[in-house]
Amino acid sequence: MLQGDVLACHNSLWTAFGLQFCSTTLVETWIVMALIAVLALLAARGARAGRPGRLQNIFELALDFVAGFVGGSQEVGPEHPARSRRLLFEYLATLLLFIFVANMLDVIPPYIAPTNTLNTTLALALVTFLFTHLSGVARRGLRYGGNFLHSPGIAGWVLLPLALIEELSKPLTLSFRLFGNIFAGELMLVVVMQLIPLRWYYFVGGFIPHLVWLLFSIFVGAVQSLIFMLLSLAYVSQATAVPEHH
Amino acid sequence: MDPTSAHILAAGIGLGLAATGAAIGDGIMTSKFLEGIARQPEAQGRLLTNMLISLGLIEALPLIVLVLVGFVFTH
Repeated sequence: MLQGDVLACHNSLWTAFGLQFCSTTLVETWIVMALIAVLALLAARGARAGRPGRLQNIFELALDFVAGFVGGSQEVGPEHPARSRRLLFEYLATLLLFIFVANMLDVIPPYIAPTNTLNTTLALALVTFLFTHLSGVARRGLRYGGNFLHSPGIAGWVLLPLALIEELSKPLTLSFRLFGNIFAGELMLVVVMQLIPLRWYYFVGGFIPHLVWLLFSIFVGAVQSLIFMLLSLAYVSQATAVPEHH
Repeated sequence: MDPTSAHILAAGIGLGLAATGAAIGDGIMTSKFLEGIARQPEAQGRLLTNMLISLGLIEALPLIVLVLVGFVFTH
């Protein structure tokens, strides 16, 4: 029934340590990592307290944005231990920066986005999945299983399979949302470029619509990175919520 | 009807329904957003942020349908 393979790699496969890596995706991921690392180092080197440099301003904008969500979220509030709040903030900021830069890399012609394959997005979603459950267990110990009994009494146990399916659907939708948006954007780009294959009137054919679609892709990439970060925050907040004692 | 035509027909119908769902959902959301701005123009920034977040969330399911129907259930 399933004819296509969403995890397929259309480029050369590298084999190392008994695992297979898709070469384009891996190299693009390294480029994104190098870009963020270099920019962050440059921003931190020229950091001044009173008069921030331009790069420092950009990073502080992004990090303050995430810190506002972490500090303002109801379940992740002041009573949450400061060290785990810090860890959550760092994880979300890394997620936001990585996915944002990865989606933006799609716009520059020779590069593609490493998030255009389910491999990358599923990996990110699984890391978030592990982070939420480990945070829940760290916060509440073995009582964390009680989080899945949403209704009091016997109804909670009867509905437990549904709650577990809901928990499993979270990384699934998280990965497919990002993958679908970026992959469909790239596919639409290819289709729009082939719109009117005339040679003389190249600028009348698919060129201008393709620029319009590229602008929309930038917008979609930014929104999707924000949504991934916000949903990760929401899931971790739900997992670490302690029920009030009456 | 041979399997290939059935697959293609199913893909077309599935994608059409997904696009319809996305369009109706976005339309309802944007109309509520505009009503909110009309009632209170100074809340535009906060409403815009929430609208963009909801946009990404609502568009997720039609995109999942697109990926599954367009590339998994067809050749």
